[in-house]
Amino acid sequence: MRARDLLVELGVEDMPPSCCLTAVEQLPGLLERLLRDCGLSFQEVVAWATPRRLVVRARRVAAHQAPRVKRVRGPAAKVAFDQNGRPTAAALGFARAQGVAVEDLVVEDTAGGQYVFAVLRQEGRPAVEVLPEVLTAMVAALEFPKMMRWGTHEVRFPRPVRWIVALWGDQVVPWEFAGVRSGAYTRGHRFLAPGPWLIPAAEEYAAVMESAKVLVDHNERKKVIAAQVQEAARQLGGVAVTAEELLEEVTFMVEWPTAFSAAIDAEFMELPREVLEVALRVAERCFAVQTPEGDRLLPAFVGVRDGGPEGLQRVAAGYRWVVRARLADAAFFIRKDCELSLQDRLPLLKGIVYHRGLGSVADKSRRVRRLSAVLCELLHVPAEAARCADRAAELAKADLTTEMVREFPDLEGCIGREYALRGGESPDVAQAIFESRLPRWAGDIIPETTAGTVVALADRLDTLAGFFALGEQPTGSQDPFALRRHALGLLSILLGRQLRLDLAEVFHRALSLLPQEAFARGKEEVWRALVEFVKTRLRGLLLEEGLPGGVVDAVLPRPPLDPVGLRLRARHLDRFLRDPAAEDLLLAHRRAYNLSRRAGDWRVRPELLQARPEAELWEQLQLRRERAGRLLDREDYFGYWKEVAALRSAVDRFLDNVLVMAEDVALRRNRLALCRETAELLAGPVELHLLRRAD
Amino acid sequence: MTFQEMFLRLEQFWAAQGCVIMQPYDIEKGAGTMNPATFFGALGPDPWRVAYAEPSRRPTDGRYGENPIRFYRYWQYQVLLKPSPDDVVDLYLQSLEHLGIDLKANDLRFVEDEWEAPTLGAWGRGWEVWLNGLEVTQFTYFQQMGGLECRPVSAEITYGLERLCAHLQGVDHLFELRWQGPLRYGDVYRREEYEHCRYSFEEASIPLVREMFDRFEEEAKRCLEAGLCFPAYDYVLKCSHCFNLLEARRAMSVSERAAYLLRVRELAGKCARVYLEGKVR
Repeated sequence: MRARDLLVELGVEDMPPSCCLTAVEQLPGLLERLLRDCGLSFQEVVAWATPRRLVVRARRVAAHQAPRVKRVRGPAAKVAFDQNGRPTAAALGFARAQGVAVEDLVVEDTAGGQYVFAVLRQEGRPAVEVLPEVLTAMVAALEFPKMMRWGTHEVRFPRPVRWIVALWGDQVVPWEFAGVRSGAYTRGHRFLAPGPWLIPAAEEYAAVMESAKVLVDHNERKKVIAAQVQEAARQLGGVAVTAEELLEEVTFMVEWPTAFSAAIDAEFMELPREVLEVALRVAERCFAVQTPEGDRLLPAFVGVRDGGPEGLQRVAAGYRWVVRARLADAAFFIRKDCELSLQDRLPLLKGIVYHRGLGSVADKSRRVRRLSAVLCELLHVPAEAARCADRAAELAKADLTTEMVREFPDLEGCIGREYALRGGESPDVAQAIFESRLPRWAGDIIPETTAGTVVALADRLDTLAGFFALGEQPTGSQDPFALRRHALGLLSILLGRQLRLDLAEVFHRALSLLPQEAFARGKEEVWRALVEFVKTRLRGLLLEEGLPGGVVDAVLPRPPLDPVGLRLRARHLDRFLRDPAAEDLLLAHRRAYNLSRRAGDWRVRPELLQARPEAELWEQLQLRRERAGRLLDREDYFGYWKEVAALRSAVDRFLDNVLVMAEDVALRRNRLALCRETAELLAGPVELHLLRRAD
Repeated sequence: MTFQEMFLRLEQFWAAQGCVIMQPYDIEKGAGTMNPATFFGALGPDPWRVAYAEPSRRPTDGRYGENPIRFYRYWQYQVLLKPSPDDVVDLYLQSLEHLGIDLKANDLRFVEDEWEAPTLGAWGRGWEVWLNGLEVTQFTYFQQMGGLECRPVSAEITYGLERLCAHLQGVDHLFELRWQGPLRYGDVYRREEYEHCRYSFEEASIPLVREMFDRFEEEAKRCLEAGLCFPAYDYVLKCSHCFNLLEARRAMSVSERAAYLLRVRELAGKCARVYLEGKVR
């Protein structure tokens, strides 16, 4: 029998989009592994999802399992056969036990001598018989973020399962899951073409679903939606704001998408842009439309309905009405919120617990304010910006107490900025309040103003220090407080704004501001863990930038933990390694470094330099040290290594001609000290001995 | 379709599905779920089907009648089916058609909703059902009630009657809904809605409401000690309404709010346990 397609469709009540997504990520790999394990050959496997169905299809699954050959070892050959080569009782017994004829036993060499083997050939079972077990194992292995029970069933799945199609070619694979038996009938679009629809054969599934008004392939559906949404926006003279997340969510909310547009009443265009965008996105899963320049929103939006063109105007009018009510509500919240200024809201922060052991949000604000002052000093921030940072740090969390943020948590910061302006704070303070939340996600914008930058840094430093003190640092995939994101945010601000800060020092300051009860372990231990954590994140960022791991590892261990400085060194070292002088530097360094490790902390005493090559090396060393030092001050590390690499011939002459391990202790120590000082000068601002060039 | 006809049609539809038709329970509550017919009905193994209208009071949702769809009080039509039947979604869709909604010409969506009622110690999985973007129904498979696992699982369907009616009548504001003859919803409720909003946001006496909460809680505990879960539960509902008033008056800090919430939840959990113990006896 020839190979046929395997098609499985689990018909479900509307699944959460996140579950659709995790299902299509897992299904192909799972089915491939299970088919392979049971010896059913197949071609490619794909999975699709709509809100009402999870589909997985394997192309050309064999009609039978491949026959399996198993070799079972029996007695040793000399036990199994007598001198005349006749089988003994041992051989006969073994053959019988294995169900083979004694003459079919074979003798093979093994590491332990010759042994008798029975070769067992297991015929493969038909696919239709094996597949139910495969499917049971497949759904059992699926993992979902959210599950539930329903009716009287004990099985757990993201939403109830209501029908199952399981076909191998034109044969139904007899299978049962969650009390539902498989068949050949599916259902179409809930309202456009409900069905039931017969799938005559697995290979015809796609064609049937087209008639049933279901666009099964989610990748295809997403493209269709994106194109329709942009076309609708174009007709409005604008461009749709299509955040990837929203597009994905909408994709898993509809089976047959049709875009529509509707107007936003002019009175609501006074609302802050972010409020409009969030109200459309979160409340209605609709897309905002901006001008082609992107400078402002147009008074319209685009939505996607699940269905065809019938009644589209009515649908659009309905959405328009709801959006109007939503925006009227936002306007109501804003009016109500503005009865209290941000300043008036500060006492309310005392009532919000930030985290057990770390006090209230008011406590956190106070720490952030003090850390901001520390940062302003370290970064030599001008007095005016420092005052602005201080005020912003004081008010930054006040918007947590507003109705707007309660309703739209995504708007933290935006709302703070808006209310600060309305409350008469300076635009700089308002902007800094907004920027204190940046970056909110990977790839988000970073603060632009000095004050905003300072507060954003201080906030993250306090968060990291606080949770590390509590012993809540991330482990494996567990990072409930998103500390990795906070650390990456901290680093991307410093790197992006080119700010020079020794994080090791700053963490000491951050830890010193925490309440005593926050510490689940010693302060030094917490500090070390923090430094290592940040270094690991920095390493990741530098590798992402394309710097080789071997270079980064030579750079990172050397204090200060100043990300901008460390990145600069790594870039220079990477570039220098491609310079012809790199050979000189590395060879000279390796020779000197190997000996220098025995040098203790002795210093070179010039009066003991007897041999000419060592005196010459010392002289060179002094000369180069001075010149290279000036380059180091200018952070011209490339120039530095170029300068000191010229020491190579002097190093070679010294080591080739002078016996370092001299019998005279004083001489020996002096020469080892010379090696050490040479190695140190050559390495300069990095740990050159940790450099690896392989990658 | 007038507003009052909606009640009648739904009653008719669900009575035909074997539901016990009940009337609203006579204590303020934030949702039809809090009616004892649902709270206790969802517990335990016995099959149970019930349907009733229930006014839902949500002091924080009041908008003085200014917002077209957000109100201090609105009417829910509540259906509980235990165990949830396999065709429950189809039944729901049929009920919408029974109300005269053309499903093909509108956009009906089941939007993921992780429903939770923290004061009841209840949570479930299901959807907000959207009709042209407007949430018109909450559809939930109860997983827990009163902190106890639901076995079997019930399906709860909660219709927002004003909103469905607004869709059918095509009005811009719920006050314009035709209730009966020339009488509009606003004619009946405008002043009441406004006064309750003023009361909840501005006038409710914070010290008195706090005190009432404490006293109701005491009485609920006393009832529970006597093994009386129904009277106790009445006082839990009263506590819950006090809590909602305090919230509308912004009388609680965040941590205080969490503490009040916990007190109500603990009482509701005890009611659920006493109820099931009584059934066993």
